[in-house]
Amino acid sequence: MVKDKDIKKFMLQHKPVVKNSDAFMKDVVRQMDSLPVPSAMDPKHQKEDCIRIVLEVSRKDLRSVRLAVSVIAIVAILSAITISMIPSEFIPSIPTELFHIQLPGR
Amino acid sequence: MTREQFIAEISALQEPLRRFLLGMCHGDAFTSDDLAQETLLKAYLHYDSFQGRSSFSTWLFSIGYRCFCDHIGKKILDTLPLSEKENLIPSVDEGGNREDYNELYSAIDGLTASEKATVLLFYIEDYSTKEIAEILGMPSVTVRSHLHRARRHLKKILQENGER
Repeated sequence: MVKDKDIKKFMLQHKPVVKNSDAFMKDVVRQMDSLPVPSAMDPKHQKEDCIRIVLEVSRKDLRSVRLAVSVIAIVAILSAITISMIPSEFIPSIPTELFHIQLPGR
Repeated sequence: MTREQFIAEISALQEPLRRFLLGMCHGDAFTSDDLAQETLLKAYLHYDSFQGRSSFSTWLFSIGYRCFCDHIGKKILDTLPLSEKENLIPSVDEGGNREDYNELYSAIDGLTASEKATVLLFYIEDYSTKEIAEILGMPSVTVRSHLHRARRHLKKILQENGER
């Protein structure tokens, strides 16, 4: 009965053999020399990327502060409008007797 | 990653990649080395698109597999019935530049391209089914079913060889 380890053993025993690795790599590097350096590997581009990230973060912060200010202003205006619209009779009256102050000499 | 680091990384991975492609090309070293070279240059040019979600080797092998599929014309293969597909994948009986005609190539000859890739990556390159799924761009379930079918096929071949 052939088991999984027999398959593994067979595959490893008969695995393809690659040759001339040094010559192959030399050829690849020579061809890479004639190609443009990808921006992710270019130190100049990496600096520009850092600047871009910093600017983006500060812009994001500024945007969130502006948003918070706008929300607070809108809430304040809406509450002012709502309060002014409530008729005065709905506002609980304060018993005036409580404030009846006897002034001395009267 | 700097250019030097990239070269160091691909130097370490070029042998497994070439071995995988050599297995896929049934020992045609010229074709497999051409594909490996194309893979490494594509990886270099498109390094910006590597987001690090998978490992570098998985990413490199996935480019290699796509290069192989482009080479055998996967788009044509996808529209053809299975019996005709098999004719387009290089087989051991064909002539050409096969340096090492060995038992492995004849054992995996009856498998489809994705099954061959699964078997080579699993048994020789020691990748997990999850990693193979990433490389081949298919769900893990499909990889496991490929592996199951390939195992059955290889067991049959090895049993026949053992009986001789």
